[in-house]
Amino acid sequence: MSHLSESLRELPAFEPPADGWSRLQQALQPAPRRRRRATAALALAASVLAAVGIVRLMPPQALSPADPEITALMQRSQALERHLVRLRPQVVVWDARYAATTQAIESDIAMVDLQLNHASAAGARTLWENRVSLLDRLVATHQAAGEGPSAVALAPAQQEWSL
Amino acid sequence: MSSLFDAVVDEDTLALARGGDRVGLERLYRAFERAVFTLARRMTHCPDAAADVMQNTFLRAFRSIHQYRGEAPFGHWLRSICATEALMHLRAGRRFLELFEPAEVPDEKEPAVEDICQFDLEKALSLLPPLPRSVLWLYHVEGYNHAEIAALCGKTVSFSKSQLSRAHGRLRQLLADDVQGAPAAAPLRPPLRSLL
Repeated sequence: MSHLSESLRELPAFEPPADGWSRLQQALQPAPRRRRRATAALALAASVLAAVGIVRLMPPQALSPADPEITALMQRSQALERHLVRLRPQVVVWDARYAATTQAIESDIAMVDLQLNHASAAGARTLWENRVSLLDRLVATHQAAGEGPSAVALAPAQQEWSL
Repeated sequence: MSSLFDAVVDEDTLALARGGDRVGLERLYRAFERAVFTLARRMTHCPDAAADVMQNTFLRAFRSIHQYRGEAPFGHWLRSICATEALMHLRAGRRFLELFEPAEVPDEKEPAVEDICQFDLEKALSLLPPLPRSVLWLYHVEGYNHAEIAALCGKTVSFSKSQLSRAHGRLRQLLADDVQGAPAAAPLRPPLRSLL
């Protein structure tokens, strides 16, 4: 190890913020709580709209789950998620560009999931199509990341740069 | 001296954390909060940004802890997430644009200034541009090699080398200026160690 490395390592560590764990705990609150909050907000909005006669209830047939297209989309979505589990590597090196892309796609998927909780059958079909499309992009991003320099960096042949 | 990320995590703690148990998660957090915050602070050079990076790092790690299979030490897995989050922060701040400029940087040796105290080194480090400073820290302190740094940045190995070389050159210049500008008879504090 060089003297510069030693000197840098001897610099003192920084003290993390005292409220770090409590902030993290808040952020780690399970999703159902947020979903309940969103559900309550949607219910409140719906009741207000219904009260002023602006909207009518959706026709009952629209709520029927027996839509073969939706079933096919759900199966495709599940297959993609299983594929993703296999693709996600043991992450030792992350590529910031791919990480940013996957983060954005995952946020979009979360938004779709939230809307699916309250969607009619007609709306659900579009949402499931969006979900499958987003998952396709996520799979493609993971595949690209796996073929990129991140994967190469882990290969033994590259260890010649080690200190 | 080993990295703060080298702390050993026992299997019980990992098992608890994988199950989402708060006790397990808090143990991991307490074991690595200083390591994560220090790396984030060194790379972002901003306490508030470092706190955000730390928060995002643990969030991402805890939400994807099922991906950690124990083939590398947990701290090293966490460190790669932290480095990525810090780089994302730098890029979000558009400071990457100037930092990712292709540059032909001559191969700079490590600073060869003697009798540098920690205070001076700390000050010089704070004056480095964000990415060369980050590369310097990842390479010299965290032990990443150029291929790994290149992968983190989504760039080539020569890019990592040029950033490190740039950091060495700038650090040498800053330390030389500091030595030349300091009072000859009364240094601020005794030298802690020489760099070379």
